Amino acid sequence: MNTILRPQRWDSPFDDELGEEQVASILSLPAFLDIDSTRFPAQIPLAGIIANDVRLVCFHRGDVVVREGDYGNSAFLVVEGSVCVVLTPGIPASVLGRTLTKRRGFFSALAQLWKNRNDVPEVRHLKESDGTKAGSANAKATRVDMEQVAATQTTVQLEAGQIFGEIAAIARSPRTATILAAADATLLEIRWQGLRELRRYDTGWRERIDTAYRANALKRHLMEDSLFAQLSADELDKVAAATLFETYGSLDWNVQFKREQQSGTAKETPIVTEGDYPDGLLMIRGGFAKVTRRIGYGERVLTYLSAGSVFGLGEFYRIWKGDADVAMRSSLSPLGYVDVLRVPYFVLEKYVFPHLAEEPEDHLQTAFDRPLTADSLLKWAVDHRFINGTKSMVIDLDRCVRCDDCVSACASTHGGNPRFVRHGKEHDHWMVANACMHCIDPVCMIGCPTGAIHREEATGMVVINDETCIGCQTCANACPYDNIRMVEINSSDDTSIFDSESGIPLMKATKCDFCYDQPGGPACVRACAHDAIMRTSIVELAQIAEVR
Amino acid sequence: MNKGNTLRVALRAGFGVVAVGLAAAVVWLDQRQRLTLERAEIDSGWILLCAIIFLALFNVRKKLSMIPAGRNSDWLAGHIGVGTIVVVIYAVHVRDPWPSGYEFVMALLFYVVMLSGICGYILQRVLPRAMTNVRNEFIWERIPLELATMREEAESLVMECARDTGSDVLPRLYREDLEWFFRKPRFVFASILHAEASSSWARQRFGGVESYLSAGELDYFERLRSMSYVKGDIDRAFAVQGLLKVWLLVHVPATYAFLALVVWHVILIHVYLV
Repeated sequence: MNTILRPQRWDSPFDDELGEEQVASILSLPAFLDIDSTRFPAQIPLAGIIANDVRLVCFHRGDVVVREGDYGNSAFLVVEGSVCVVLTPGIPASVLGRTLTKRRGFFSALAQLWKNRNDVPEVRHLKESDGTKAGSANAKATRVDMEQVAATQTTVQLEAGQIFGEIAAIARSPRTATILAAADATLLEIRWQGLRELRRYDTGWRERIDTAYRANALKRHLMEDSLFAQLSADELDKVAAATLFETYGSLDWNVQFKREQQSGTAKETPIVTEGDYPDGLLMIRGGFAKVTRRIGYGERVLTYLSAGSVFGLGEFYRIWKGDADVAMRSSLSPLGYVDVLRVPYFVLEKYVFPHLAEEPEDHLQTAFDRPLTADSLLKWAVDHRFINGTKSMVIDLDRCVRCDDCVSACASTHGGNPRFVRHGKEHDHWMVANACMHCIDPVCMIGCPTGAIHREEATGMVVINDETCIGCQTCANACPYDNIRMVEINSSDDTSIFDSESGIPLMKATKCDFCYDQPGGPACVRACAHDAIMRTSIVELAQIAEVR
Repeated sequence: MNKGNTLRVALRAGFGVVAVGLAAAVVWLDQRQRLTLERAEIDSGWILLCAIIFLALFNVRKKLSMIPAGRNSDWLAGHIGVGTIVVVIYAVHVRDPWPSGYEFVMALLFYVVMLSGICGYILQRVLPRAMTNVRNEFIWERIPLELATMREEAESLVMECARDTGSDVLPRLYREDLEWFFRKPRFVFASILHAEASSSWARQRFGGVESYLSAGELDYFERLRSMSYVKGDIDRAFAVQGLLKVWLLVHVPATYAFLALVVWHVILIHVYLV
């Protein structure tokens, strides 16, 4: 019988060379001094988190620490030196030297023909974890000219003791700014899993992370919105001070969603109800919300809003133009979880409307005027939360001949076992198959104890590091779409591999990785001879559906 | 249409123009060579062989899905385009539609490949829509499992009904008619032509006994009837998906047999004629 020890959470520390002395020295940093270590559970001690989920990284002046747009799975604490956040106008991508995904070469791809055995799927070599790291920021290779940055960019300096990178780590979103080492600096990089535990068990860290998250996110978001693009830094500060940061729902919204799916009932508390008096312009910062309007005895879904959308601008514009009797014409409800910025009317009156050349277009009325059945696809996608997907596998059933060439192609590029099931929810002639959708908000990452499931840095694809996956099923249970499967792993002689202690077969989580390392893109799409498969978002699908 | 798709459409159109040009060139060359009393079949034969090899490569491409050799949909477009001009080149090459000897077998295989290809193309364009209209989607490989599960459920439902109500009407209906119906896919050919063939049969059987049932039996009856409609969907899916697979069982083996004879043909021609 083939047996190995069941992989454990800290089999692969973030830094193999972090010794006891360094752990003690990290624990003596002001940021960790006040932590009450007794609040941490015995199986996740504070010292364990420091020994396994952090690493010290040294940067020289001008080194790129994180790049705007990259996907990060860690936050940073400045230990020594300083870093600067590049605000505007931003450093061109060509200067930043973005990391590229390593793809297989032609012959390496071809070799899968005999290396991936179809007769014995999910073959793993009998060895313990080799210590491969989960995705982490490692942008040190690139250095920029700091004199030029100082001359051309607006920056904000962060000194020792300050934390950054927590937005991308907590919200599972791209880095919102490029950060450079302003001087030679030592940073403590904290893996997202460690950050989560610190936030969970220490009140001080929770406040520190949440405050930094809210403050940084708020300003950054205001700056990025075209409504406030013409404002000076002072004016922006005033707008930020007057703006409220609100959160509706929970970051792990998937739990409630799954419950609702099973019970068939959805409980929604609107943020804004149709007919209410307008109370601040709402700007969506993260998550999703749906816009509905009453029709007959029900609510018609007009659209859904995601990061960067605003709600209520038209109503406030009419008030500003002198219309006294203005009420909200639609309702806004959170879809699981949504971060909202509420901008008061006086801010709009003073800083926004005087600069607007014309009345904002009323897209909602246009949506409402469409035939009643025109938005059934959108309603279906919203009800099933398919709006979360960026690369959903959508199959046009009117073209699909059910040949399963897509499934075979997937298996031949993934160890003889396909990473999706050609089955799923259907609407009209569209099927969203059970394949990872590489979500905007990948909730599957929330509970992963090792960081095995992470975003690929350059493309943002959600991938699983097979070496560090311990088969705990947390991601599979968390995925609201049942797109992650647990598979028993085998040795090359076609026998299962068992845990040497319990005798239970070892499992690994598997899912579609969008063939991120394959030359030529996703094999399923290339294999379809009938152009029936698309990897797309719902917005793009709605456009395609209008044509087909 | 995005940039990638525009490029693909342009490439396909360009490929189509080249293919038609090639066919026209072969016809022209053949005419010229015949007028000058040259052996026109040699050149057209080589061109035909190249085109046939290209057609056969589509199957190889399907097996090598891991290499970046273009989308299969582009290959299929090329397969259909070249397949069409191959018919023209073949006609120019052989002149006589029914030659004698082993060439008769070759011709027969060519027609089988050609006709099965045309049929397959039409089936692939028409049948997916027919399957979309089936209420439930079934994966081909899982159909036996679905049927076995359904049969077990139906049998236990009938037993339960007999136990609870003491009536033997439903068990008798099951034994006399439905056991046969649920055992395996039925009305395969009828289901291809008529989507409701299987369900219609079941509806008739159920309609015939409804008036004999007590109020207590009606609930079991309705559940069994719902299952029969799902079974109808399975029959339809089995028939249509089976048809979509079976044409390839003619097309591909006939292609291999044809290719084997082509090799033999090339050897003979070069030994005895060239």
